[in-house]
Amino acid sequence: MKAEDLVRQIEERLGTLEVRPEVANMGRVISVADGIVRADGLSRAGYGELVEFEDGRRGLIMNLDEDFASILVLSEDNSVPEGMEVRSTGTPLSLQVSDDLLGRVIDPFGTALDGKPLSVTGGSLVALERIAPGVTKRAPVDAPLKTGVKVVDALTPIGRGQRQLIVGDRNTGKTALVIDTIINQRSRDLGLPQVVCIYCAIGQKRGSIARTVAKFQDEGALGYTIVVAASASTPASMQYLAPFAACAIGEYFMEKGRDALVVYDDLSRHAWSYRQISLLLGRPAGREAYPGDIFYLHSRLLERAARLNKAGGGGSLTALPIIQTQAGDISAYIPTNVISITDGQIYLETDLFNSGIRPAVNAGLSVSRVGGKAQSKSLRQVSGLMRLELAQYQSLAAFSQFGSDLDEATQKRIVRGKRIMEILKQPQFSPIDDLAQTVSIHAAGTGLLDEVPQEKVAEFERRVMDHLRTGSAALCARIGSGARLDDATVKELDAAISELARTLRNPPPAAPNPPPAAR
Amino acid sequence: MKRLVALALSPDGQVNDEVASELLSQLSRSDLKRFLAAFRLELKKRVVLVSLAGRPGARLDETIARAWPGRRLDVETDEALGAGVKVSAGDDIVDASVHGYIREIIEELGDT
Repeated sequence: MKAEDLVRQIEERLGTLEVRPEVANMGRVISVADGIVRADGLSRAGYGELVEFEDGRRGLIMNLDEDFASILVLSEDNSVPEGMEVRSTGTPLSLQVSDDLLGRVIDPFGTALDGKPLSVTGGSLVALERIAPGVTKRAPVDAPLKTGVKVVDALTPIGRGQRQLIVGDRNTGKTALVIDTIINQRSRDLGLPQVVCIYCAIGQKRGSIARTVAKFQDEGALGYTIVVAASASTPASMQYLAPFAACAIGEYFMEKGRDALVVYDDLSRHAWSYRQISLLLGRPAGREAYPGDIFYLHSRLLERAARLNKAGGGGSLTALPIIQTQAGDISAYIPTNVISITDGQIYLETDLFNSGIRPAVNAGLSVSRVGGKAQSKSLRQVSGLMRLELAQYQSLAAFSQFGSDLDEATQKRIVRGKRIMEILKQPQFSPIDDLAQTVSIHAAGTGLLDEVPQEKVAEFERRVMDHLRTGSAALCARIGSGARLDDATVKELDAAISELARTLRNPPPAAPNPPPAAR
Repeated sequence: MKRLVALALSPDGQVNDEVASELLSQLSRSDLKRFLAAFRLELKKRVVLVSLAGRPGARLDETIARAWPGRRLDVETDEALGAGVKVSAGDDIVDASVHGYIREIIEELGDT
């Protein structure tokens, strides 16, 4: 910049400056400990208000006591000196949000963490804490949010605007499931609008966050995703605020009439950080030393997920919170709290995971209370039958070890159940579309796979899809539209699958080798 | 503590000797510290400190009494303000000085 330009800019700035007496409500730091500052004065400051220290650092008022205010320092460096002046700002903690954030990794205050410069132009300044949309602004959940994972989309479908909990012990594939869901949004299955994804990493190792971001990048999912990260090495204040920042970003897109998905990975660590802050603030400890308002903390966050009605723009915010259980105990304090807040849960089980069933979804303990209404008609049609077969298999599974001692009908159920379990297995990072899900689940539920050896089910599934996509484009289009399958379509599909099954059972004789050429 | 301060200090600024001696004998060291902080804050609230770069105007008393009724007025000269006035009433500060304007401009320019 030239010197003349700087002079001109300053002159313009000074020319437009509205000079008014500055009115401020001041306080003075009286004590500092573990990121919590106590300051006297600040008689006009409110709960949740942003305050500014003399050196430019910011804080958030968490408690207003008779003689002092307790302030959470919002920076990694907590060393605020005693006696420092602090002034109220009269504003809540806010974040500038626009499309510029897409593809970026930021902290809860909107600072870029990916090493690239970030300039957020336009958009809106959104408050981290907001009241959830009221009843009159909401519309029923009626559009599916496809995860691309067969077992989820068939048995516990998720709708746009729903809150679906993912719960399970460590290393059971909770994060893998949400990563698959985010990756699947690139396909815009069933012609649905693009979903803006916000992945909120709370208290995770930096290496894990970097791996997740790299995966999004590799799979082409980063372009429509924003990562809000507060790693394990950041202060509890940042981990506490991260999900609220992620939610505020999601709300911005929802209010623009777009569909957004926010993943909180995970709310157990979020509860830990809030417990730490509450204990440092001197709030009374309750069950498991959590503060009394731990339920309200998560309910006010998750209640912000909604599907807005047409007058509100018709956007949606879907929430996928993750909770980590200890030794499979879903009746612990935080899991039961979040289960009661959400519209359903996907329960991942260690035993299933270790026995090779991945995703390790326990179909019995998993439920979706509203997503069924948003499921595509074709998938709902075929998954109903499969669900029944699966339930019967699970009740008979204990007898399967007796093998031939069982009657024929029971053996048939067990054979079919094993095929269903096999078809529900799905490798990581390979989400599939509604068409492939419908075909696979129809084949397994109606017994078309009963004759296929269990170990060849995955290969058969792949070949069926290749066969249909190459040879029956019209049939694929009908099934892939999501409409209810009529009798003719079902008959045609059954014929195509049966024909391929026959071919696999009785492969055509190989062509004889040509005689060796004469020398 | 606020109640103790109210007992010890009457609205006209007089200290109740009986309450004061009781406090000095009964309160622990840490409670005395808290009491002192609350007492100082209360004294601060009852005073309006006006800092001026030059001489006070003729109607200063009247203006301050209208804005903060019932408070004692202290006036001090602070040449560092350049010009204008800075009023401190308890933990509220109204800065209408040249020094304050310049600081505000610097902050605004820093944000751009």
